[in-house]
Amino acid sequence: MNPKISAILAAGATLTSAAVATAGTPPYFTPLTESAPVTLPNSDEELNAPWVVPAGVSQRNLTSLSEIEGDPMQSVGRAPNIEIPGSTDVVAAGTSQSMWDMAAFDPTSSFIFVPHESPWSAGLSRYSIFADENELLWRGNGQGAMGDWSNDYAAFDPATFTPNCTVFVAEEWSGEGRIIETLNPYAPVDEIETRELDSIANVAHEGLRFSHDEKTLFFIDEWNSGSIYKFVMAEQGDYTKGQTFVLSVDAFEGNAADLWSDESNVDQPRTGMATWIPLTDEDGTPLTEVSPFRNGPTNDPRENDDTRGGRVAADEVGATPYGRPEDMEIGYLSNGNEVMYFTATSETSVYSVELLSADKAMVRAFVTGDTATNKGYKPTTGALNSPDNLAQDALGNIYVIEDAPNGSSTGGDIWFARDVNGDGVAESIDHFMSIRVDGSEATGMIFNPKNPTQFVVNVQHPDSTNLDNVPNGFGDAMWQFDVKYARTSWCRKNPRKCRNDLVGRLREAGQQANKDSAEYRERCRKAMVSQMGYYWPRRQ
Amino acid sequence: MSSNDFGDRTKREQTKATTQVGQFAALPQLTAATAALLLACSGGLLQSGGKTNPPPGASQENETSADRSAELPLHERYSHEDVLAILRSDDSVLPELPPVHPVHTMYNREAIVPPMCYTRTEGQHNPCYVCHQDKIKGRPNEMDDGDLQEAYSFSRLGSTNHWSNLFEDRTERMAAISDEDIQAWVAQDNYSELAPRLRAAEFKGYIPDLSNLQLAADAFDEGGFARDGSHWVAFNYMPMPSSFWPTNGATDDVMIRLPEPFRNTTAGEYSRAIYLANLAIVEANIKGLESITVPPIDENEIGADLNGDGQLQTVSRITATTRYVGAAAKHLMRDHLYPENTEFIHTVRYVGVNDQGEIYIPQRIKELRYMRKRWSTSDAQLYETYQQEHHAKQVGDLPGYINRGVFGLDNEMGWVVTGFIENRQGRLRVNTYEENVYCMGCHTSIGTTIDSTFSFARKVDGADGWGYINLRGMPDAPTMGESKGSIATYLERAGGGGEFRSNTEMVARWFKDGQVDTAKVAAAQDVYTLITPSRDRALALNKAYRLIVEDQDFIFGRDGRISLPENVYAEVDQEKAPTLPPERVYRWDIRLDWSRSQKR
Repeated sequence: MNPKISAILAAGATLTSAAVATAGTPPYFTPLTESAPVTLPNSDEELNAPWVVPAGVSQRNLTSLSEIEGDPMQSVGRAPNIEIPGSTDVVAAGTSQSMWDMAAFDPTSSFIFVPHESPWSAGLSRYSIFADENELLWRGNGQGAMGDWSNDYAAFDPATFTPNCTVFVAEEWSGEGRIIETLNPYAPVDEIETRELDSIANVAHEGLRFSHDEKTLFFIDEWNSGSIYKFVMAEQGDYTKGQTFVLSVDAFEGNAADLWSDESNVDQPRTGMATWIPLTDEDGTPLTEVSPFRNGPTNDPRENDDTRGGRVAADEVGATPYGRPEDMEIGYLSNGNEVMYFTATSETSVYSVELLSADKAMVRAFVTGDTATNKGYKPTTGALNSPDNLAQDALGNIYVIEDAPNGSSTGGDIWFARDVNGDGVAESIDHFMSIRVDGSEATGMIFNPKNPTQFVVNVQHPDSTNLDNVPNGFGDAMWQFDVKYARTSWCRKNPRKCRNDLVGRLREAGQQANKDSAEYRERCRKAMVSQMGYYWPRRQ
Repeated sequence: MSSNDFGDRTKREQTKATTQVGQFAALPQLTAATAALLLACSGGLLQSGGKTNPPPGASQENETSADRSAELPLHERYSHEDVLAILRSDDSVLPELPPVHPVHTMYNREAIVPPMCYTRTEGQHNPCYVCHQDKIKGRPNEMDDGDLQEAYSFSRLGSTNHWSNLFEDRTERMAAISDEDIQAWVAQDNYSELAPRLRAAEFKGYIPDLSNLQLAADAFDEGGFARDGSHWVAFNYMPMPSSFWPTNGATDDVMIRLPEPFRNTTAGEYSRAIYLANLAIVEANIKGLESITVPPIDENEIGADLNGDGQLQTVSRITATTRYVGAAAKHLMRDHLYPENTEFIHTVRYVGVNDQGEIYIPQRIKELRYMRKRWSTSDAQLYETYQQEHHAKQVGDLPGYINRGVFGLDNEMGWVVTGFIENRQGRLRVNTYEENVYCMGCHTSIGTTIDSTFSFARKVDGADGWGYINLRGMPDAPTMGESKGSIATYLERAGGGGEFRSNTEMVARWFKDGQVDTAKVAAAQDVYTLITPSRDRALALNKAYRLIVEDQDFIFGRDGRISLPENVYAEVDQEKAPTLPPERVYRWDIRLDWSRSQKR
């Protein structure tokens, strides 16, 4: 049996978007030739078609802040103004009030879980695709705005649906670097249970992905001296106990505590053979002077003594510093080895880490600012800028989502990373989509596990979220796309010769993955029935 | 759904917007007819200063501009030339701008990089240190950009100096303006009508609410309090070197206003004593002072022991600077940050000069700048914003800010910044987007500021510093941590009387044989003596700026230069431009050590 297929069979479904049999394909669409110009807040474009997309790609709005808040039966996270006790002073979050970030499908494709990256009162929403309803499952009490994090959370960047049919969210640029697990994500709101996972190092979390065998959780520290981590469970499915490692490129001889761009590091190799260095023993007992599990703010450990422990511990053991690692995906290379991709935003790069063994890995530059664009197609004037999120389709293709700067004349782009030979180095990045909503960022792109030609992307923190500024503003929104009618320009010109096109392969790969993950889906369906009392799709 | 008021500049414009793009209209739009007229006009109808503004494709025949533009995507139909054409023909307080996101009509996406950043340092002259500074421990400013003193570090776009007004020879046009005419111009009040005009236009943004501000000092009592009861308070500060020195083209003043709880008793009644105390406490917090003097305050009126002596009596020094008083007693104090809803007005004016050659602050206002601390950000938000600034610089992103529409631009550090500037007739109008962006770099991404502001940290300490700005009698106080006067120090480090070393009068007055005449500078009577121009220079500076107003091309620069500066790069080759050696890179604190200077 093909090792990749085998892995998929064993895999769970974190694996909702995992590759099946190939590491990549050519683009199945005709790439864009320019980035989209931004439009005015609440413009027709924002309300009807916020992205410029290739021919044949459809987009429709699933939900938005304005829709949810206009319906008394729905709820959503919007960080309130926090009054300073005994005064009229408030701390306000502005356009950061809701901050829909990296979404997660459940394996039945009934729900999409959306984390709120707000600076306090962060929480988790559950969007029902069938009911078109959103519910805020839980959030913090807002007192983090005053520095009290005992019952508050902040800046949840990732939501990851776990093999145990639970949901992880994790703190990034605010809060204390914690991972919070929602144990019964299908339950009614008043029955929701959560726990903090003290077993996983405190860092500025973003990318959070399980290995195909479900035994390892990979994560990053979003910092300009950020490291790459893995948590190897002592027992599969037990997230509370395990050993934590950081990645160190063997040839790196710089200073782990310095920024990647500091003189001490900028010319040091960040690719090549690498070693996973333990931060703890197998039981999770720290091997470092500073505990990786220390809660704290995200700041520079060279100047502060309260930094999140995972960052300090990584520096202690000489982990290789990268330029603001952000999202990650787990896939396969053509040689059958598992690979982890992660963005390094400040380096305008995406790295691939081929997972060779328990303690060794090979790091390659998957995409850089020098990677060819639209190779073989009409050129684009767009260029890779601040790669942030990643997504993966059923064929194993990686999509790179930019964090567009505020005030830019063009929106952020989404790029299709073309690695046809599956060697972990993309031959081209092809201009896939471009957002035109002013002040916004595209986040949470994720493919639908049951319908592999569909995916969703959020519009995060647009100008229209701040109702003081834009009354009746559309606000953060979730859009669904379908690529089933996308074709390359060659296919459009030669339809009869193009029957077995790449979209067809994408559909087939998704269907195969669905079959392969049937056990996992059934497990979560049972959890849904148990927690919710019924199975959603049958109740339409 | 009703139309939003993001850009709800006027009811008239809102109606148009709804007509053009349906119920979801946002910013004010032009009607098709107006747009066509605009494009026709911009084909060269308006000429000024030798500049013409042909629209793209203007040379084509038998086709109107509107026809041609209709073939283009909306965002490509308009450019900065169209904006200029509007500004040159529109007398309204709210010029009707092209119906696209304003970022598409910007001429200079790096408008935040001011002209002085293009100075030729030639490896020895350093005027940069006053803006670019290493982090000072304990302050929330994380920009930490002292390295920018050493070498140029522009984006590719920023490497080109877009401030072409620096290089425009206005000699002939200036000669055509008589001294009498410019004096009459400068003496005119262009402020009083601003608020009524904005109200008539149903403007939703900030409407200046300080009566008689055109009268400068006369609008305030001796303690700096606005006579109109608006609670604006003027303070006396040493202007930042060197753009805000009168000798380089402008006079200015700054006023602060704290929100209502900082002015009231716990019972909600206004108390000047409480306001004075809170102003002093804010000043101490911004400057990091443990105690501060105040005009005599009766502690009984406040109900708090301000000097910690265990008694309630009249005091002139506050030592209890870690909490506010009165109705603001429970407001959060955060080190080196202003309370939420603190406001500043900054007027930049022409250089007033009388027949005796005395320099004063005249009625005519060049610009009225306004900033309000709209949001009180959490520590993590502020820290993250600086991290994002670093990232943007590192990857070469062009600058951008949250657009709060008529309220201004949000620097994501809590402040919303907006302003008004003269139209072609000299009447104040609302800034365009690009004119507003110009303000944002200094109020966001430089290391020297304290909570994104400049002047308050440079206020004369305590009781002596409340009152309208007065450079007469003001000593050349040293920068905190230094001993020599801050102006004397600047002259030495910059190697001239300004960033471009082109102020010949300053050189003639304060330099000898190419070096600062330290004895003469030290003997100068006051700051007024050091940084105000001669009558002739003042008149020339005013004429030069008047021509920029006539051209309305502030996007090409606002510096009314009277000669072509030699020490300016038109293009910076960052690989080859000389850098400053370490001994010419300075750590500096925006605060002044008034205790080490003697009032003359």
